[in-house]
Amino acid sequence: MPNPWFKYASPAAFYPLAGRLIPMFWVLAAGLILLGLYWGFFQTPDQLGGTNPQKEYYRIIFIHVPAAWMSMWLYVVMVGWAAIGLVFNTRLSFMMANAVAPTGAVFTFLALWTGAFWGRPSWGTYWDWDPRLTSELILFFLYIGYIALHSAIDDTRRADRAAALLAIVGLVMVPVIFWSINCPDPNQCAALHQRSGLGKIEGNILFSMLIMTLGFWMYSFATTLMRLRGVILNRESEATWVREVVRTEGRLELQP
Amino acid sequence: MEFLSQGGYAGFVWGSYGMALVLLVGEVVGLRRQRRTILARLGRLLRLRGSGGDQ
Amino acid sequence: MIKIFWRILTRDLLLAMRRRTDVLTTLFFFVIVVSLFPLGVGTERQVLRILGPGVVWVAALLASMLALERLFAADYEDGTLEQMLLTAQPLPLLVLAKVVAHWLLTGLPLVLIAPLIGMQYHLSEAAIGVMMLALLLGTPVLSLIGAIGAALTLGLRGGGILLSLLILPLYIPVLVYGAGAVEVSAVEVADTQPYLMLLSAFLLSTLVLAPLAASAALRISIE
Repeated sequence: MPNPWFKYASPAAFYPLAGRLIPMFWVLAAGLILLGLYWGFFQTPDQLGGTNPQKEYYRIIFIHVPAAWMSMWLYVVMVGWAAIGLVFNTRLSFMMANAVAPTGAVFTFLALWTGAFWGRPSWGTYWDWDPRLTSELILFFLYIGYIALHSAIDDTRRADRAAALLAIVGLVMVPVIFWSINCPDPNQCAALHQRSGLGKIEGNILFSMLIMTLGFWMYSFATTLMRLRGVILNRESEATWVREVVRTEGRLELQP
Repeated sequence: MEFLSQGGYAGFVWGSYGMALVLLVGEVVGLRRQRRTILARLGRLLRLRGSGGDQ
Repeated sequence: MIKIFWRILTRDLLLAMRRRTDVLTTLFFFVIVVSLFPLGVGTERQVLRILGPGVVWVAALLASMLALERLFAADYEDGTLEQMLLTAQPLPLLVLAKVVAHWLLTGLPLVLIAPLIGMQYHLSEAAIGVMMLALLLGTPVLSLIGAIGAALTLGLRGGGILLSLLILPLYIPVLVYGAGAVEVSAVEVADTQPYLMLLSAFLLSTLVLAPLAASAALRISIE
Protein backbone atom coordinates (compact mmCIF):
# COMPACT_ATOMS: atom_id res chain seq x y z
CA MET A 1 0.00 0.00 0.00
CA PRO A 2 1.75 3.15 -1.16
CA ASN A 3 2.46 5.62 1.58
CA PRO A 4 0.06 8.57 1.18
CA TRP A 5 2.70 10.99 2.44
CA PHE A 6 4.86 10.33 -0.56
CA LYS A 7 2.57 12.38 -2.72
CA TYR A 8 3.89 15.42 -0.89
CA ALA A 9 7.38 14.53 -2.01
CA SER A 10 6.69 16.31 -5.25
CA PRO A 11 7.35 20.04 -5.20
CA ALA A 12 4.09 20.67 -7.01
CA ALA A 13 2.06 19.05 -4.27
CA PHE A 14 4.07 20.43 -1.41
CA TYR A 15 3.94 24.05 -2.54
CA PRO A 16 0.25 24.62 -1.80
CA LEU A 17 0.46 22.55 1.39
CA ALA A 18 3.29 24.75 2.62
CA GLY A 19 1.27 27.79 1.70
CA ARG A 20 -1.57 26.69 3.94
CA LEU A 21 0.73 25.79 6.82
CA ILE A 22 2.70 29.02 6.95
CA PRO A 23 0.04 31.28 8.51
CA MET A 24 -0.62 28.63 11.12
CA PHE A 25 3.02 28.63 12.15
CA TRP A 26 3.10 32.41 12.30
CA VAL A 27 0.20 32.45 14.70
CA LEU A 28 1.81 29.81 16.89
CA ALA A 29 5.17 31.55 16.79
CA ALA A 30 3.76 34.95 17.68
CA GLY A 31 1.64 33.54 20.45
CA LEU A 32 4.39 31.52 22.03
CA ILE A 33 7.01 34.24 21.78
CA LEU A 34 4.73 36.84 23.29
CA LEU A 35 3.81 34.48 26.09
CA GLY A 36 7.44 33.62 26.67
CA LEU A 37 8.48 37.26 26.78
CA TYR A 38 5.67 38.26 29.07
CA TRP A 39 6.42 35.42 31.42
CA GLY A 40 10.13 36.03 31.27
CA PHE A 41 9.89 39.69 32.16
CA PHE A 42 7.00 39.77 34.58
CA GLN A 43 6.77 36.40 36.25
CA THR A 44 10.40 35.86 37.08
CA PRO A 45 12.51 37.15 39.91
CA ASP A 46 14.65 40.20 39.25
CA GLN A 47 17.83 38.44 40.14
CA LEU A 48 19.06 35.03 39.19
CA GLY A 49 19.86 33.49 42.52
CA GLY A 50 21.64 30.36 43.59
CA THR A 51 25.31 29.60 43.11
CA ASN A 52 25.60 32.02 40.22
CA PRO A 53 23.93 35.30 41.22
CA GLN A 54 23.17 37.58 38.32
CA LYS A 55 21.19 40.78 38.10
CA GLU A 56 18.45 41.78 35.71
CA TYR A 57 20.65 41.26 32.65
CA TYR A 58 20.23 37.51 33.04
CA ARG A 59 16.98 37.98 31.14
CA ILE A 60 19.05 37.79 28.00
CA ILE A 61 18.85 34.07 28.67
CA PHE A 62 15.37 34.04 27.16
CA ILE A 63 16.82 34.84 23.78
CA HIS A 64 20.29 33.35 24.10
CA VAL A 65 19.50 29.80 25.16
CA PRO A 66 16.52 29.22 22.83
CA ALA A 67 18.52 30.67 19.93
CA ALA A 68 21.46 28.39 20.72
CA TRP A 69 19.23 25.35 20.98
CA MET A 70 17.55 26.21 17.69
CA SER A 71 20.90 26.72 15.98
CA MET A 72 21.94 23.22 16.96
CA TRP A 73 18.59 21.62 16.26
CA LEU A 74 18.29 23.20 12.83
CA TYR A 75 21.71 21.91 11.86
CA VAL A 76 20.58 18.39 12.69
CA VAL A 77 17.37 18.94 10.71
CA MET A 78 19.40 20.24 7.78
CA VAL A 79 21.61 17.16 7.83
CA GLY A 80 18.53 14.96 8.10
CA TRP A 81 17.06 16.39 4.92
CA ALA A 82 20.44 16.26 3.21
CA ALA A 83 20.82 12.59 4.06
CA ILE A 84 17.29 11.79 2.87
CA GLY A 85 18.07 13.59 -0.35
CA LEU A 86 21.24 11.59 -0.91
CA VAL A 87 19.61 8.27 -0.08
CA PHE A 88 16.27 8.67 -1.85
CA ASN A 89 17.41 11.12 -4.49
CA THR A 90 14.41 13.39 -3.94
CA ARG A 91 14.76 16.98 -5.11
CA LEU A 92 12.46 18.36 -2.47
CA SER A 93 14.62 17.03 0.38
CA PHE A 94 17.61 18.98 -0.89
CA MET A 95 15.46 22.06 -1.26
CA MET A 96 14.39 21.66 2.35
CA ALA A 97 17.99 21.44 3.53
CA ASN A 98 18.81 24.62 1.61
CA ALA A 99 15.78 26.37 3.06
CA VAL A 100 16.76 25.54 6.63
CA ALA A 101 20.36 26.70 6.44
CA PRO A 102 19.91 30.52 6.50
CA THR A 103 17.49 30.39 9.42
CA GLY A 104 19.95 28.20 11.27
CA ALA A 105 22.71 30.68 10.58
CA VAL A 106 20.54 33.53 11.85
CA PHE A 107 19.91 31.79 15.15
CA THR A 108 23.58 30.95 15.50
CA PHE A 109 24.51 34.58 14.99
CA LEU A 110 21.85 35.64 17.46
CA ALA A 111 23.17 33.19 20.03
CA LEU A 112 26.66 34.61 19.57
CA TRP A 113 25.51 38.23 19.81
CA THR A 114 23.36 37.69 22.88
CA GLY A 115 26.10 35.57 24.38
CA ALA A 116 28.54 38.44 24.04
CA PHE A 117 26.05 40.94 25.45
CA TRP A 118 25.42 38.62 28.35
CA GLY A 119 29.09 38.07 28.89
CA ARG A 120 29.93 41.72 29.20
CA PRO A 121 27.97 42.43 32.37
CA SER A 122 28.47 39.01 33.90
CA TRP A 123 32.09 38.14 33.07
CA GLY A 124 33.33 41.61 32.31
CA THR A 125 34.17 40.99 28.69
CA TYR A 126 32.29 40.53 25.43
CA TRP A 127 34.28 37.50 24.35
CA ASP A 128 36.00 35.04 26.60
CA TRP A 129 36.65 32.00 24.40
CA ASP A 130 34.18 30.26 26.63
CA PRO A 131 33.85 26.71 25.23
CA ARG A 132 30.13 26.97 24.63
CA LEU A 133 30.32 30.23 22.73
CA THR A 134 33.38 29.09 20.81
CA SER A 135 31.51 25.97 19.76
CA GLU A 136 28.64 28.18 18.66
CA LEU A 137 31.11 30.16 16.55
CA ILE A 138 32.33 26.99 14.87
CA LEU A 139 28.73 26.03 14.20
CA PHE A 140 28.32 29.39 12.50
CA PHE A 141 31.27 28.61 10.26
CA LEU A 142 29.72 25.26 9.40
CA TYR A 143 26.47 26.93 8.32
CA ILE A 144 28.34 29.54 6.29
CA GLY A 145 30.42 26.80 4.70
CA TYR A 146 27.30 24.94 3.64
CA ILE A 147 25.73 28.04 2.15
CA ALA A 148 28.97 29.11 0.48
CA LEU A 149 29.64 25.72 -1.09
CA HIS A 150 26.12 25.51 -2.41
CA SER A 151 26.21 28.93 -4.00
CA ALA A 152 29.66 28.35 -5.47
CA ILE A 153 28.49 25.45 -7.59
CA ASP A 154 26.45 26.31 -10.65
CA ASP A 155 25.08 22.87 -11.41
CA THR A 156 22.12 22.49 -9.03
CA ARG A 157 22.38 18.75 -8.74
CA ARG A 158 26.06 18.82 -7.89
CA ALA A 159 25.53 21.75 -5.51
CA ASP A 160 22.79 19.96 -3.62
CA ARG A 161 24.74 16.76 -3.24
CA ALA A 162 28.09 18.35 -2.42
CA ALA A 163 26.59 20.60 0.23
CA ALA A 164 24.68 17.63 1.61
CA LEU A 165 27.87 15.61 1.97
CA LEU A 166 29.60 18.55 3.60
CA ALA A 167 26.78 18.92 6.11
CA ILE A 168 26.94 15.25 6.99
CA VAL A 169 30.72 15.33 7.43
CA GLY A 170 30.20 18.42 9.57
CA LEU A 171 27.72 16.65 11.79
CA VAL A 172 30.09 13.72 12.25
CA MET A 173 32.88 16.12 13.19
CA VAL A 174 30.76 18.29 15.46
CA PRO A 175 31.01 16.09 18.57
CA VAL A 176 34.79 15.79 18.08
CA ILE A 177 35.19 19.53 17.58
CA PHE A 178 32.98 20.45 20.51
CA TRP A 179 34.74 17.96 22.71
CA SER A 180 38.18 19.18 21.82
CA ILE A 181 37.16 22.75 22.62
CA ASN A 182 35.54 21.79 25.90
CA CYS A 183 38.28 19.48 26.97
CA PRO A 184 41.58 20.71 25.57
CA ASP A 185 43.55 19.02 28.30
CA PRO A 186 42.71 15.33 28.46
CA ASN A 187 44.79 14.97 31.58
CA GLN A 188 42.49 16.89 33.74
CA CYS A 189 39.18 17.48 32.16
CA ALA A 190 35.98 16.79 34.00
CA ALA A 191 33.99 14.48 31.77
CA LEU A 192 31.51 17.10 30.63
CA HIS A 193 31.88 20.71 31.52
CA GLN A 194 29.55 21.76 34.26
CA ARG A 195 26.06 21.52 32.90
CA SER A 196 24.23 23.97 35.09
CA GLY A 197 21.58 21.29 35.39
CA LEU A 198 18.23 22.30 34.00
CA GLY A 199 16.72 20.91 37.15
CA LYS A 200 18.32 23.63 39.18
CA ILE A 201 16.81 26.52 37.25
CA GLU A 202 13.89 28.30 38.86
CA GLY A 203 10.55 27.11 37.53
CA ASN A 204 9.32 30.31 35.94
CA ILE A 205 12.62 30.94 34.22
CA LEU A 206 12.72 27.43 32.83
CA PHE A 207 9.13 27.78 31.66
CA SER A 208 9.87 30.98 29.78
CA MET A 209 12.95 29.45 28.20
CA LEU A 210 10.99 26.46 26.98
CA ILE A 211 8.13 28.58 25.67
CA MET A 212 10.56 30.81 23.81
CA THR A 213 12.27 27.75 22.36
CA LEU A 214 8.94 26.43 21.08
CA GLY A 215 8.15 29.87 19.72
CA PHE A 216 11.45 30.01 17.87
CA TRP A 217 10.81 26.55 16.55
CA MET A 218 7.44 27.57 15.13
CA TYR A 219 9.15 30.63 13.68
CA SER A 220 11.72 28.40 11.97
CA PHE A 221 8.96 26.32 10.43
CA ALA A 222 7.37 29.46 9.05
CA THR A 223 10.55 30.98 7.60
CA THR A 224 11.80 27.66 6.26
CA LEU A 225 8.54 26.98 4.48
CA MET A 226 8.48 30.51 3.07
CA ARG A 227 12.00 30.13 1.78
CA LEU A 228 11.22 26.67 0.46
CA ARG A 229 8.32 27.99 -1.59
CA GLY A 230 10.68 30.53 -3.15
CA VAL A 231 13.23 27.81 -3.94
CA ILE A 232 10.51 25.63 -5.49
CA LEU A 233 9.27 28.44 -7.70
CA ASN A 234 12.78 29.18 -8.90
CA ARG A 235 13.79 25.64 -9.60
CA GLU A 236 10.54 24.42 -11.10
CA SER A 237 9.96 27.59 -13.09
CA GLU A 238 9.57 25.64 -16.31
CA ALA A 239 6.64 23.62 -15.04
CA THR A 240 3.09 24.52 -16.09
CA TRP A 241 1.79 24.58 -12.56
CA VAL A 242 4.37 27.21 -11.69
CA ARG A 243 3.26 29.36 -14.60
CA GLU A 244 -0.27 29.15 -13.26
CA VAL A 245 0.89 30.13 -9.79
CA VAL A 246 2.92 33.02 -11.12
CA ARG A 247 -0.08 34.23 -13.04
CA THR A 248 -2.57 34.04 -10.20
CA GLU A 249 -0.46 34.77 -7.14
CA GLY A 250 1.64 37.25 -9.01
CA ARG A 251 -1.43 39.24 -9.88
CA LEU A 252 -2.57 39.20 -6.26
CA GLU A 253 0.67 39.93 -4.53
CA LEU A 254 2.32 42.36 -6.87
CA GLN A 255 -0.41 44.97 -6.66
CA PRO A 256 1.24 48.37 -6.15
CA MET B 1 10.23 53.07 34.15
CA GLU B 2 11.93 50.33 36.01
CA PHE B 3 11.11 47.92 33.24
CA LEU B 4 12.95 49.96 30.66
CA SER B 5 16.08 50.41 32.70
CA GLN B 6 16.32 46.74 33.67
CA GLY B 7 18.29 47.49 36.83
CA GLY B 8 20.68 49.69 34.88
CA TYR B 9 21.54 47.03 32.35
CA ALA B 10 19.25 48.46 29.71
CA GLY B 11 21.98 48.59 27.10
CA PHE B 12 22.74 44.91 27.28
CA VAL B 13 19.23 43.60 27.66
CA TRP B 14 17.65 45.81 25.01
CA GLY B 15 20.71 45.48 22.83
CA SER B 16 20.13 41.75 22.81
CA TYR B 17 16.38 41.84 22.36
CA GLY B 18 16.79 44.57 19.79
CA MET B 19 19.15 42.47 17.69
CA ALA B 20 16.75 39.55 17.98
CA LEU B 21 13.96 41.75 16.70
CA VAL B 22 16.09 43.10 13.88
CA LEU B 23 17.19 39.65 12.76
CA LEU B 24 13.89 37.86 13.05
CA VAL B 25 11.82 40.63 11.51
CA GLY B 26 14.54 41.26 8.94
CA GLU B 27 14.50 37.63 7.89
CA VAL B 28 10.79 37.72 7.31
CA VAL B 29 10.88 41.01 5.44
CA GLY B 30 13.71 39.66 3.34
CA LEU B 31 11.77 36.52 2.53
CA ARG B 32 8.68 38.52 1.56
CA ARG B 33 10.77 40.67 -0.73
CA GLN B 34 12.46 37.60 -2.18
CA ARG B 35 9.09 36.14 -3.01
CA ARG B 36 7.96 39.31 -4.74
CA THR B 37 11.14 39.41 -6.78
CA ILE B 38 10.74 35.81 -7.87
CA LEU B 39 7.11 36.31 -8.83
CA ALA B 40 7.93 39.49 -10.73
CA ARG B 41 10.84 37.89 -12.57
CA LEU B 42 8.94 34.78 -13.50
CA GLY B 43 5.97 36.91 -14.49
CA ARG B 44 8.12 38.92 -16.85
CA LEU B 45 9.57 35.76 -18.37
CA LEU B 46 6.09 34.42 -18.82
CA ARG B 47 4.92 37.50 -20.65
CA LEU B 48 7.98 37.51 -22.88
CA ARG B 49 7.44 33.88 -23.80
CA GLY B 50 3.75 34.47 -24.29
CA SER B 51 4.33 37.25 -26.79
CA GLY B 52 7.09 35.30 -28.52
CA GLY B 53 4.80 32.29 -28.86
CA ASP B 54 4.78 29.17 -26.73
CA GLN B 55 6.83 26.23 -27.85
CA MET C 1 45.00 -4.35 -4.82
CA ILE C 2 48.24 -3.50 -3.06
CA LYS C 3 49.76 -3.26 -6.50
CA ILE C 4 47.42 -0.58 -7.73
CA PHE C 5 47.89 1.35 -4.48
CA TRP C 6 51.62 1.28 -5.02
CA ARG C 7 51.28 2.21 -8.67
CA ILE C 8 49.25 5.31 -7.94
CA LEU C 9 51.50 6.28 -5.06
CA THR C 10 54.68 6.04 -7.10
CA ARG C 11 53.08 7.75 -10.07
CA ASP C 12 52.04 10.73 -7.99
CA LEU C 13 55.45 10.95 -6.38
CA LEU C 14 57.15 10.82 -9.76
CA LEU C 15 54.91 13.51 -11.21
CA ALA C 16 55.57 15.70 -8.22
CA MET C 17 59.29 15.21 -8.46
CA ARG C 18 59.19 16.63 -11.93
CA ARG C 19 57.58 19.76 -10.55
CA ARG C 20 59.76 20.01 -7.55
CA THR C 21 58.91 23.64 -6.93
CA ASP C 22 55.40 22.69 -5.80
CA VAL C 23 56.77 20.67 -2.94
CA LEU C 24 59.22 23.30 -1.93
CA THR C 25 56.73 26.16 -1.99
CA THR C 26 54.63 24.48 0.67
CA LEU C 27 57.66 24.02 2.85
CA PHE C 28 58.84 27.56 2.38
CA PHE C 29 55.39 28.93 3.07
CA PHE C 30 55.42 27.09 6.36
CA VAL C 31 58.84 28.43 7.29
CA ILE C 32 57.96 31.97 6.29
CA VAL C 33 54.74 32.03 8.26
CA VAL C 34 56.47 30.65 11.31
CA SER C 35 59.25 33.17 10.95
CA LEU C 36 56.88 36.10 10.64
CA PHE C 37 55.28 35.70 14.02
CA PRO C 38 58.27 36.69 16.13
CA LEU C 39 58.59 39.80 14.00
CA GLY C 40 55.05 40.73 14.79
CA VAL C 41 54.82 39.58 18.37
CA GLY C 42 58.25 40.38 19.67
CA THR C 43 61.24 38.13 20.13
CA GLU C 44 61.13 37.74 23.87
CA ARG C 45 62.07 34.21 24.75
CA GLN C 46 59.26 33.48 27.14
CA VAL C 47 56.59 34.75 24.79
CA LEU C 48 57.95 32.67 21.94
CA ARG C 49 58.06 29.56 24.03
CA ILE C 50 54.40 29.98 24.85
CA LEU C 51 53.39 30.83 21.33
CA GLY C 52 55.54 28.27 19.59
CA PRO C 53 53.29 25.21 19.58
CA GLY C 54 50.21 27.11 18.48
CA VAL C 55 52.01 29.02 15.78
CA VAL C 56 53.65 25.93 14.35
CA TRP C 57 50.36 24.12 14.18
CA VAL C 58 48.46 26.99 12.61
CA ALA C 59 51.21 27.30 10.04
CA ALA C 60 50.98 23.56 9.40
CA LEU C 61 47.23 23.86 8.88
CA LEU C 62 47.62 26.70 6.43
CA ALA C 63 50.45 25.05 4.52
CA SER C 64 48.50 21.83 4.31
CA MET C 65 45.49 23.64 2.96
CA LEU C 66 47.44 25.49 0.32
CA ALA C 67 48.85 22.24 -0.96
CA LEU C 68 45.47 20.53 -1.06
CA GLU C 69 44.31 22.24 -4.20
CA ARG C 70 46.90 20.30 -6.12
CA LEU C 71 45.77 16.97 -4.78
CA PHE C 72 43.19 16.32 -7.44
CA ALA C 73 43.58 19.30 -9.74
CA ALA C 74 46.11 17.91 -12.20
CA ASP C 75 44.33 14.60 -12.62
CA TYR C 76 41.00 16.36 -12.94
CA GLU C 77 42.26 18.57 -15.71
CA ASP C 78 43.69 15.84 -17.88
CA GLY C 79 40.86 13.39 -17.38
CA THR C 80 42.77 10.84 -15.33
CA LEU C 81 40.41 11.34 -12.43
CA GLU C 82 37.42 10.35 -14.50
CA GLN C 83 39.28 7.22 -15.53
CA MET C 84 39.84 6.40 -11.89
CA LEU C 85 36.13 6.67 -11.25
CA LEU C 86 35.40 4.27 -14.05
CA THR C 87 37.81 1.49 -13.11
CA ALA C 88 36.75 -1.55 -11.15
CA GLN C 89 39.26 -0.69 -8.46
CA PRO C 90 37.82 0.58 -5.19
CA LEU C 91 37.95 4.34 -5.37
CA PRO C 92 38.76 4.84 -1.67
CA LEU C 93 41.96 2.88 -2.18
CA LEU C 94 43.02 5.08 -5.08
CA VAL C 95 42.19 8.17 -3.08
CA LEU C 96 44.20 6.89 -0.16
CA ALA C 97 47.18 6.34 -2.44
CA LYS C 98 46.97 9.90 -3.69
CA VAL C 99 46.64 11.27 -0.19
CA VAL C 100 49.64 9.30 1.04
CA ALA C 101 51.71 10.65 -1.84
CA HIS C 102 50.48 14.12 -1.04
CA TRP C 103 51.40 13.76 2.60
CA LEU C 104 54.85 12.46 1.81
CA LEU C 105 55.43 15.57 -0.24
CA THR C 106 53.83 18.21 1.93
CA GLY C 107 53.31 16.86 5.45
CA LEU C 108 56.45 14.86 6.07
CA PRO C 109 58.77 17.78 5.22
CA LEU C 110 57.07 19.77 7.97
CA VAL C 111 57.83 17.02 10.45
CA LEU C 112 61.46 16.99 9.36
CA ILE C 113 61.91 20.72 9.56
CA ALA C 114 60.38 20.92 13.03
CA PRO C 115 63.69 20.98 14.88
CA LEU C 116 64.64 24.13 13.03
CA ILE C 117 61.41 25.78 14.02
CA GLY C 118 61.80 24.53 17.56
CA MET C 119 65.12 26.25 17.76
CA GLN C 120 63.60 29.52 16.49
CA TYR C 121 61.06 29.40 19.29
CA HIS C 122 63.47 28.29 21.98
CA LEU C 123 61.64 25.04 22.61
CA SER C 124 63.31 22.40 24.74
CA GLU C 125 64.55 19.18 23.19
CA ALA C 126 61.74 17.24 24.76
CA ALA C 127 59.26 19.70 23.32
CA ILE C 128 60.79 19.41 19.87
CA GLY C 129 60.62 15.64 20.06
CA VAL C 130 56.98 15.75 21.04
CA MET C 131 56.31 18.29 18.31
CA MET C 132 57.80 16.02 15.67
CA LEU C 133 55.76 13.09 16.89
CA ALA C 134 52.57 15.15 17.08
CA LEU C 135 53.15 16.53 13.59
CA LEU C 136 53.87 13.03 12.35
CA LEU C 137 50.51 11.86 13.66
CA GLY C 138 48.59 15.01 12.88
CA THR C 139 49.66 16.08 9.40
CA PRO C 140 48.31 12.92 7.76
CA VAL C 141 44.96 13.66 9.39
CA LEU C 142 45.10 17.13 7.87
CA SER C 143 45.78 15.65 4.44
CA LEU C 144 43.02 13.07 4.82
CA ILE C 145 40.33 15.50 5.96
CA GLY C 146 41.57 18.03 3.46
CA ALA C 147 41.09 15.53 0.67
CA ILE C 148 37.36 15.59 1.35
CA GLY C 149 37.33 19.34 0.95
CA ALA C 150 39.48 19.19 -2.16
CA ALA C 151 37.12 16.67 -3.71
CA LEU C 152 34.07 18.79 -2.92
CA THR C 153 35.55 21.98 -4.35
CA LEU C 154 37.01 20.37 -7.45
CA GLY C 155 37.17 22.77 -10.36
CA LEU C 156 35.34 25.61 -8.65
CA ARG C 157 36.35 29.21 -9.08
CA GLY C 158 37.60 30.68 -5.83
CA GLY C 159 38.33 27.11 -4.84
CA GLY C 160 41.20 27.82 -2.49
CA ILE C 161 39.43 30.28 -0.24
CA LEU C 162 36.27 28.23 -0.26
CA LEU C 163 38.31 25.17 0.63
CA SER C 164 39.78 26.96 3.64
CA LEU C 165 36.36 28.03 4.84
CA LEU C 166 35.10 24.48 4.66
CA ILE C 167 38.10 22.67 6.06
CA LEU C 168 39.50 24.86 8.81
CA PRO C 169 36.68 24.19 11.30
CA LEU C 170 37.24 20.49 10.80
CA TYR C 171 40.93 20.90 11.58
CA ILE C 172 40.29 22.26 15.04
CA PRO C 173 40.56 19.03 17.05
CA VAL C 174 43.95 18.26 15.54
CA LEU C 175 45.07 21.81 16.28
CA VAL C 176 43.89 21.70 19.88
CA TYR C 177 45.49 18.40 20.76
CA GLY C 178 48.55 18.79 18.59
CA ALA C 179 49.48 22.14 20.07
CA GLY C 180 48.35 20.99 23.49
CA ALA C 181 50.74 18.07 23.40
CA VAL C 182 53.71 20.33 22.78
CA GLU C 183 52.62 22.81 25.44
CA VAL C 184 52.30 20.10 28.02
CA SER C 185 55.67 18.63 27.16
CA ALA C 186 57.26 21.75 28.55
CA VAL C 187 55.84 20.89 31.95
CA GLU C 188 55.85 17.11 32.11
CA VAL C 189 56.58 14.86 29.18
CA ALA C 190 54.64 11.92 30.56
CA ASP C 191 51.51 14.04 30.39
CA THR C 192 51.69 14.13 26.62
CA GLN C 193 50.59 10.53 26.39
CA PRO C 194 46.82 11.10 26.33
CA TYR C 195 47.26 13.77 23.68
CA LEU C 196 49.29 11.47 21.48
CA MET C 197 46.79 8.68 21.99
CA LEU C 198 44.02 11.00 20.86
CA LEU C 199 45.98 12.04 17.81
CA SER C 200 46.61 8.40 16.97
CA ALA C 201 42.92 7.68 17.33
CA PHE C 202 42.16 10.52 14.94
CA LEU C 203 44.68 9.14 12.50
CA LEU C 204 43.26 5.64 12.57
CA SER C 205 39.68 6.73 12.16
CA THR C 206 40.39 9.21 9.39
CA LEU C 207 42.50 6.62 7.56
CA VAL C 208 39.39 4.53 7.28
CA LEU C 209 36.64 7.13 6.97
CA ALA C 210 38.16 10.00 5.03
CA PRO C 211 38.89 8.09 1.81
CA LEU C 212 35.28 6.90 1.82
CA ALA C 213 33.95 10.41 2.20
CA ALA C 214 36.42 11.77 -0.34
CA SER C 215 35.42 9.14 -2.90
CA ALA C 216 31.77 10.00 -2.41
CA ALA C 217 32.67 13.64 -2.87
CA LEU C 218 34.61 12.88 -6.04
CA ARG C 219 31.67 11.03 -7.50
CA ILE C 220 29.42 13.96 -6.67
CA SER C 221 31.81 16.44 -8.23
CA ILE C 222 32.48 14.56 -11.41
CA GLU C 223 29.33 12.76 -12.38
